[in-house]
Amino acid sequence: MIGGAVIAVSHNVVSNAFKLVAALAFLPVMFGIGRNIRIPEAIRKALILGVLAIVASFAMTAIDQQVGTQLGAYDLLFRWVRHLTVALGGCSFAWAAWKTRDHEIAMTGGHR
Amino acid sequence: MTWSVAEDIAPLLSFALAMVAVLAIPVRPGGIFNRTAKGFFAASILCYIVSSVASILGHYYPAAAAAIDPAIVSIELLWVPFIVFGVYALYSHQQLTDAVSSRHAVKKAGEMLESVMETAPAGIMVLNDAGAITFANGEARRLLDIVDDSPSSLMSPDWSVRLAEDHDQATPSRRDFKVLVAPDARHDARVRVSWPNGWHRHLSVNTAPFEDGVGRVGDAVAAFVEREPAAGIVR
Repeated sequence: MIGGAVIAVSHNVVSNAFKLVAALAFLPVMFGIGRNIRIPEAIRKALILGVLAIVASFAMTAIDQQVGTQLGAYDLLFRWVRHLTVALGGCSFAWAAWKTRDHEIAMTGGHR
Repeated sequence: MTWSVAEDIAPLLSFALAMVAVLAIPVRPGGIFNRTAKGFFAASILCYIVSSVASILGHYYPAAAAAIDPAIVSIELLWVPFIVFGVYALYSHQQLTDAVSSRHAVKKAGEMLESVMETAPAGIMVLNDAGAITFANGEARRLLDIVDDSPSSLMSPDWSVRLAEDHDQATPSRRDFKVLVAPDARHDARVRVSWPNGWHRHLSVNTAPFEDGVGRVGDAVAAFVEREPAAGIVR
């Protein structure tokens, strides 16, 4: 049972670190391709903000797993900041998606 | 417990909103979104909805949450390829749409150019760097007495061509229009075209050189009218 828990914890630590590394590795690809997509600049900025927020939350999760117990009283604050960062990412995606919807409707000349 | 649940509710609500917004994006011809991109973006958002729901349930069922935690981390990991594929799908859809519209635009421009060529009251021909005709419109064929539609007849004319300004010099006449192929455009060049049977025409020619596919200037477009339409032909 202890061995299983150790495997699970180490899997989590490795996965969170890997998640962060994978996201960071793909950031240039994502931004490189995204720069060439013809969308309004406000939507592009919202998407970039969303992606950066999620990547920041990956970093926070990885940090939290390494030093979370040492944060003491700041642990709760750190967790809140992490969740709010994810929420910020979600809101950015929501805003970008809604504006993209408006843009698509305007571009294709259709009705809502 | 309440605060812990509340901190997970915020991401869940925001990603639920994002999911609604993504699903509301219409997929229409001429737009930037296609079903593939929409699917990948929705999948990336779904990863976070699942993760947030699992996190909230974890407050009530800690043992079950601990058991599925590695799977949840892996689901969050999927967000990276999904969002990358989504962006790439948007880009490739845009490229495909551009290619299709370019093809339509080229086809339309070709048809328009063909109409202009065939209705223009001037002779228009395209010359290669050797001065041979590679294209001639209807009026050019009439003026140059080209009766055969086969390209070979355009390449082996039996006329001789001489610039009027060379008329008094010792320059021999040519059997092609090389005299008109030059790096610079010509305006109102006077050309005399003669046939073996004694016919001849005096033409006023404008030329414009253009680049071939590799950026080399060699070919030229020549537009011409007969300078003496009534008296130019001597039988």
